[in-house]
Amino acid sequence: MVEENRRQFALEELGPVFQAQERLGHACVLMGGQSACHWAKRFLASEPALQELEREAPLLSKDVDFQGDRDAVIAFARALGQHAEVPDFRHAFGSLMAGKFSVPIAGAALHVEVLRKVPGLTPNLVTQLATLEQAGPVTIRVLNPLGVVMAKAWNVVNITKEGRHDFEQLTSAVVCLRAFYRSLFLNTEHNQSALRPTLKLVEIALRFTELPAGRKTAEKCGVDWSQILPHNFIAASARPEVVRLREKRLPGWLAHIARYRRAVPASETHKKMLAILARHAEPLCIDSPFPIRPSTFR
Amino acid sequence: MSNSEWRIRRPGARILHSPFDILLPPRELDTPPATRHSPRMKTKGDVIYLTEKEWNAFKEQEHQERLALSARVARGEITALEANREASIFAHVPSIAEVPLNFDLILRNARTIRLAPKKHGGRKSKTVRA
Repeated sequence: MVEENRRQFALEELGPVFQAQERLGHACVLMGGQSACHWAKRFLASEPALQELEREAPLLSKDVDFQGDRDAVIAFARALGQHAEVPDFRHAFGSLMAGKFSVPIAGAALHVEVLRKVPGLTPNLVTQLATLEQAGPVTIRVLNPLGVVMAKAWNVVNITKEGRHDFEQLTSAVVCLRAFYRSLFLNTEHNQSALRPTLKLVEIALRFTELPAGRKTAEKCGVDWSQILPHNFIAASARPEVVRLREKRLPGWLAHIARYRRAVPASETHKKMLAILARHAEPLCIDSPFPIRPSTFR
Repeated sequence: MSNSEWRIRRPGARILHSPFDILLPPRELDTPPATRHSPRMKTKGDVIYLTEKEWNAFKEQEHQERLALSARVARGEITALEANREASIFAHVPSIAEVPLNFDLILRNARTIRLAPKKHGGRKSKTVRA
């Protein structure tokens, strides 16, 4: 009950936490709900779907999660004038927690948790998918939308706990990922050498959704993976690499993900959010070999 | 204070130490706090004294700057929003959406990712291979 009533924080309220990270040279990577909120705020103006999703689920989170090691959390807490609770030798095994502490912000306690790993991502991939972003006056090191989608999908599949907002955050992260890819593709118009790494990031998402983790996510929360790509842009592009993606890679991928049984969420809010996602879906850039299954599975 | 000196800051006017102080309730700002080391304590440096001539020159310069900005807006060189920002005495903190994505870092990191080669089928067991 206490957990339910905990105050939720917006990204703008976490200035002191991010300033401490900046002073420490960005030793930790922002992950979890606040990273999803950051990307949602970045693409809010350009994505009508996000504006509607925000009305259903406000862009807030009860705590802030980082990925980092034990030394990083001790230094982090000290920079904020706090003392970190670090699990001792006996409890460190089997626990992802590197340490945690609370910071008083606006009259409430903000729980800062630092995990050793991001569930669902390898440590190497976390480094490769982390980027530096400007959030108001401070710079933050945050997982990019691809990393957020992969981590949130893991949470949706593996964590069954009341009061979590993984579904809402995954839904908005899917829209953010599409906007992120669109920005990357637009960047390739001016920068020819950017196309290969952009396509590599696309390929990572395609492979992830083909894995059992992707299938289970669709089965559990009913997300339509075909919407992670900016289909309008891919359909209009005449670049040979993008044409190859469209005509060689995507038919197989769509045939794979179209067969996923997609769940109907129990919650009314979740149903509305899926409906928003479907309403703002971009038409597929190619005809799917199989029609995408409607969300009917229970 | 002699008649030749003009006080820019009226006694009772608000002192803004940062752009965000405008958000604080006025009473809290105008009353100097009791603590000695508080950043809000008024100091002599907060009040500037100018002669009438200096004051008029300052007003004239401000007026000319405003006119120049309006002329640039009229010519279409800048938008009204940009002119407002330029005229503002506070530093503009861009919102998250205004800052472009850090393409360099995103793409540099993406280049280091190694994708496993796509092969037909997974690892075969020894019996099948034999």
